[in-house]
Amino acid sequence: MSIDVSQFLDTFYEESFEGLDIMESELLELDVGAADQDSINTIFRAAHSIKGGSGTFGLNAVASFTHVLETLLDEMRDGKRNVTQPAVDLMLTSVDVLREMLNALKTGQDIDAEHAAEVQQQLERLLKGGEEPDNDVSGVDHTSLSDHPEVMVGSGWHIRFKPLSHLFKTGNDPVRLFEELSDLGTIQVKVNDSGLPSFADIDPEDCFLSWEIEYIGDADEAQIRDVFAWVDDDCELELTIIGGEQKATTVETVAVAPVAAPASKTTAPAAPAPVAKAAAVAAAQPKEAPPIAPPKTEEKSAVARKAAPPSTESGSIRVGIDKVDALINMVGELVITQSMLNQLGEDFTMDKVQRLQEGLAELEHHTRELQENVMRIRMLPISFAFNRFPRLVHDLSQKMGKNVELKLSGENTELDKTVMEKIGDPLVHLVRNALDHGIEKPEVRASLGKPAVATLHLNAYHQGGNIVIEISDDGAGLNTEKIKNKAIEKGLINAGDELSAEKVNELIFYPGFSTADQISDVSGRGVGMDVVKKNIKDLSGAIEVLSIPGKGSRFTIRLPLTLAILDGQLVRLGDQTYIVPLVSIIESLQIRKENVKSIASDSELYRLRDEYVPILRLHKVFNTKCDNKELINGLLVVVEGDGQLAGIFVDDLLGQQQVVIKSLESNFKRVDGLSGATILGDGTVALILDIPGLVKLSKERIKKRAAASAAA
Amino acid sequence: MDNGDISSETLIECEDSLDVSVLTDFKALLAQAAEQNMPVVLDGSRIERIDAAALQLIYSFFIHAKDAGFSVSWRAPSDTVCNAARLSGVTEAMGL
Repeated sequence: MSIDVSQFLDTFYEESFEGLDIMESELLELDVGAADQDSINTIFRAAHSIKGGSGTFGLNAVASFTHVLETLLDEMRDGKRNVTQPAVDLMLTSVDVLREMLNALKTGQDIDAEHAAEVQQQLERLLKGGEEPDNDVSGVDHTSLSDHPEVMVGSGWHIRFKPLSHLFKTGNDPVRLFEELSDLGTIQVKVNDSGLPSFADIDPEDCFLSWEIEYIGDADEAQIRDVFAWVDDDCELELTIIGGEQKATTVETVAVAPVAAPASKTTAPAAPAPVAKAAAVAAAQPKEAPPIAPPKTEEKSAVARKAAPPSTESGSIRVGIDKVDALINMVGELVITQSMLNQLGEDFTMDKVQRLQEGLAELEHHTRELQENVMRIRMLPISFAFNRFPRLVHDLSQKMGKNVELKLSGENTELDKTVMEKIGDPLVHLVRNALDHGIEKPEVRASLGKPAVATLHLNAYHQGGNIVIEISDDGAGLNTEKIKNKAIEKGLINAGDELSAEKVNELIFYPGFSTADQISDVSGRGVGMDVVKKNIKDLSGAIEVLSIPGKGSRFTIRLPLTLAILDGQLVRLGDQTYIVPLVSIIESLQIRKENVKSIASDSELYRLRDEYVPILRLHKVFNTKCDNKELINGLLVVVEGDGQLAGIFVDDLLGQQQVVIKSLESNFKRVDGLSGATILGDGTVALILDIPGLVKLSKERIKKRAAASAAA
Repeated sequence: MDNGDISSETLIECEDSLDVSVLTDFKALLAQAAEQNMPVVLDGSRIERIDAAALQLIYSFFIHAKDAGFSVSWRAPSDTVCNAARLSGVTEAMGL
């Protein structure tokens, strides 16, 4: 009989990585010299959770490392230690080390023990050289201590811990809590079995015991309560001070020796445990147990190795309960509709056709709703992608000697998990470029009359069926002249070409294009922007740049919300059905003779209000059959792709529906002008048009014909 | 978890992990052993993990044995068992 803990490990890793992200972002926001107590508490709690979890899973290297970090944070939290920049930097490095350790454990690789030990030693050195609390020039916020005179310091605490019956089912284990408590000092535990049913009646998954604990040590109430923080809602917890006088806590009175690191852990003062006299405690003949001193660090490395997780990615997604509830409701509705249709089918007669149609309409409605709700499950806030930037900007701006304020907005804008994962790297490229090329050094900014602190703004919002992500800075902007010269030098344009500033700026997306005078390890090798554009195009997205010299630049990325499902307009051409993405369609119209203009043998334009739109005959592009070759009174679907309009000439407009996109590349091969395929309700395959690709294809075809006819 | 009958006692060999997820089966095993009305011996040498839920069940079994008039004892309880019992204040009641 054994329990497979690996099933919980993935959750532990996920939560730990989230905890590390929180630690990192809070550390970056800590104001050295005026650190916010709430932030320190948040960082402490994250470290505490990682320590607790890693201890539970026998990941002792992580637990041991986190313990030292936690001790440092604990001292900061108690006001015994100032929050200094070196300490913050070291803690940021510790976050990196923990991330590496957890990543290594997760993927079954060896931990870089040497690096971890080195950073752990630095932490221990910092702990040993602890600053005097009265030498407080940092202005650490002590208000939470001084504002709470009820926080007591004495020789110990009487703790009454009564778990609610469901505690075991939450996965919490009192033994682990007592173990943690014993880390803080000496404990004497008495069990209360008054609620324990007979062996025959006991439900082993319910908790019937409660405990009276005498704690002797230096921990204050908050520290004791922290131990029980995970079971806060699942127990009754009473703390009574023992053996000490009640007095207002000051920073000086709590100034005790720093908690030793695990390697040098010593037994806590073995003061005699006073007998509990708290009348409020209803202890029913508790049974005595010997006092427990803090345990020695146990060598469980063998267990730790054994508990190493399999080298698989979690690939999981955390979903809000509201989304799951919505799904369950939808499935319920679907089942009801299905049984209604079943019933109808059992003794179907023609007079029930209307009811059948109603039932089918209902089925369609519920299926669509279910589909929409399932898609919502994959949607995550873009903060998952944005969260890496505070650290990146912090590190890079320090390295480059620039003062940069990062502004994030629209972090709750949701997009598909797959899109999110793929957009991360392009965003990093753009941010690094902005820091390296765009934003000037403080002295340059000062000479230009700009604020010394530059602003880099990441913004996200929904627009139509797209998510728009903007990366803007108030730096120097793109140097149009320099780009133009570089493009001429590289033979991308001719010296005499008349190009608008926008067109020139777009040249930065050409492969190998970089105007950086010096190649740095941040950017300048010219391998960034073309890859950025390619990655975004692969996601069926687009990127554009707007730049004002001296004022800054803004990159705008447009991406579809999801890659799995598409709202499409079904169109017929001969015996084939094609799907035009609805987001690309501007309008559909019946062709009027007077609006059609032929400008060459094979080029036709349609006058749409004030502009001319090239007509694209699909049957010619794909070399297929069509019913109608006469434009007059035919149907034209006006679409937009890559900022250009085109009119697609089709035989018929069918319905609109959501289609599940199947990749042509993985099921067949890449075909120009098509972005994928789908299977329709009748089982036939319909091809999905790639509008920008189609426009390009049509242009190339016309060019080729023109060249051929010129040659003839 | 194996249960082997020796002429004068019932031996229960506890496996390496004894926690809330396996206690329904473990309780059935203990109940079966109790029905023998013979001394019960718990072999705790292999236990690497034990939680408070398991301690509670064994604690309740010790009380039941006392009332029913048969004895329960440990054979080679691991450090994990002893530590967990000491931390939970049940060392004496569980005969450790």
